[in-house]
Amino acid sequence: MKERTRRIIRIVYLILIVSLSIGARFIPTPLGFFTVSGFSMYPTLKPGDLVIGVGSFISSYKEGDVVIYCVDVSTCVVHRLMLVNGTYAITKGDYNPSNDPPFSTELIRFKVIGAIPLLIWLPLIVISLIFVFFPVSPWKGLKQAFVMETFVFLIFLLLNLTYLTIYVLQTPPALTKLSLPSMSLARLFSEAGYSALTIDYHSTGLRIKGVEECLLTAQSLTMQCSSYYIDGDKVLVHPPAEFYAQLYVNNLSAFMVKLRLSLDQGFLIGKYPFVIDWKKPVLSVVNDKLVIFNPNPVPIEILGYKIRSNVEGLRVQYMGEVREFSAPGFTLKPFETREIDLAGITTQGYVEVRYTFMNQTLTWVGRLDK
Amino acid sequence: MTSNKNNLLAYQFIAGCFAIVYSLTILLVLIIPLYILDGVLKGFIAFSFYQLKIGDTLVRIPELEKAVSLSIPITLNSLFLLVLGLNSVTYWVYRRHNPLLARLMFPTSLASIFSTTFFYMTHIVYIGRVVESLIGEYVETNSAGILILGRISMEIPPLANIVLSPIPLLFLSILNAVVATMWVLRTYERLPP
Repeated sequence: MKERTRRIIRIVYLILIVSLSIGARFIPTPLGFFTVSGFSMYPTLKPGDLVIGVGSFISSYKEGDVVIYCVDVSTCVVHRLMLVNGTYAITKGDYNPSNDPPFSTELIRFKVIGAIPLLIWLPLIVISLIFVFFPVSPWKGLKQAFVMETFVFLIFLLLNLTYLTIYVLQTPPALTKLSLPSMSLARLFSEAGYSALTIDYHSTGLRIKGVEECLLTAQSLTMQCSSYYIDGDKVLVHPPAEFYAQLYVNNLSAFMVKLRLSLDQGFLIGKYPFVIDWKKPVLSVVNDKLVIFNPNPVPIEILGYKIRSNVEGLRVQYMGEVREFSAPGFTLKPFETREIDLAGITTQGYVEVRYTFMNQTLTWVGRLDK
Repeated sequence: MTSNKNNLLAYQFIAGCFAIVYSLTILLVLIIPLYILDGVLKGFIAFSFYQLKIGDTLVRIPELEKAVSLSIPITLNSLFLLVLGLNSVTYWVYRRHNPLLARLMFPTSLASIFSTTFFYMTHIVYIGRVVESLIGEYVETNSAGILILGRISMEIPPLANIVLSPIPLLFLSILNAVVATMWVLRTYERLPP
């Protein structure tokens, strides 16, 4: 009789477990039990939690409630209700960035009323299963059949559950972000009157192996760099003189250095802007000398200069005799300084220099004091 | 009496062999490289450890460290089962039956089903997701321009392909538990009340 009762209890228990775990998916039951399988509802619900739902035909739901809807027998979703609009509803997982697609309200099966954490419900189920199928009395000691076995089993189960809870269920796994080697631009500068353009990088874990391509571009103008070399994290580019000449002729001041660098790991393709500050030639009269300096990386055409001096001095310019001396032009090389001796002029006067700059003819007038 | 003893010895031997095979398989599964990565990141990922390098620098990935910790329960379970299995076979060699081994192997084998299940669950959550997020093209745009580091590709060795599916190992653990259960039930049958 006792054995028969035990057998009935076992069968009833099994039916109960099976019907509670999967029954709610097939038939509209007043209570439904589901386990959470992802992080979409984190931190409200964690993976492994046993969710208890009350049938939607018993308890009504409203926006903000957590509901269970089943798309089919195998796919049931536990999410928060964001919008209910008569025939359709929109849900969202608390941890999800966006809403789920709308679905028919007929699919909503349960309203969630509570959840039991995995660490509580699973040991309870396992212990109850053990006691139903291997009935032991905890007061009779380890020697009793299956008591030690139960004890050992529970130790291993607890070990697994503890690790699972600590490492998996506490935090959702974030997307792994590798701290990869990187390279950023530290500074751009030009040295020695644009003769070398320096592109200085700040690199972490990368080394520049070589320059695969070096181009200088400005609008439709494109030229190869005349030379380049690598100095640690710096690339020094030497533009050809012709490139600057073309920029000057076309009244362009902005240009780009386009580089393709091969690194010890991968490539770097970069375009670096440079601006050339075209300056008018610097003219001055110092110590009986006319000093002309070309601050540009291109030659400047000096068309000519004239010296006007008065025999009687400036104050009687219009009354006295005016002497005029003209000289032919010349080309001032890039960054060249030329001095013209004016010692032969004994009286006060003016120096007039005509030159071309950015396709314009300009005149500079300086005073010659004696 | 002799027949009964022989019967128990046979159970002891079979259960011991199953325990050894299962635990060694699990220990092997823990150390064989599951994913071999190549490209920007080179190295391999196994269940219980990993070695990944960018250039010559070793890389630490916190998510993988976590995953490695998760293999501790199954490792302990398998090691205990291996000790029990080796003991059972050794006792069988000396034609002796040890009921204590049967009583210990039964719950350990049963727990191994849970360990294997948890182990694969965590693998899906952690290692699988880490690998999924690692593979791809690594292109970064910043002040220096477009930095093309290359890509990370992943390869699963043929052996790993088998062990990545939980079915063979779960089947093996269930089989092991069934044999251990049969042995313990036979042992209880022969024990004096």
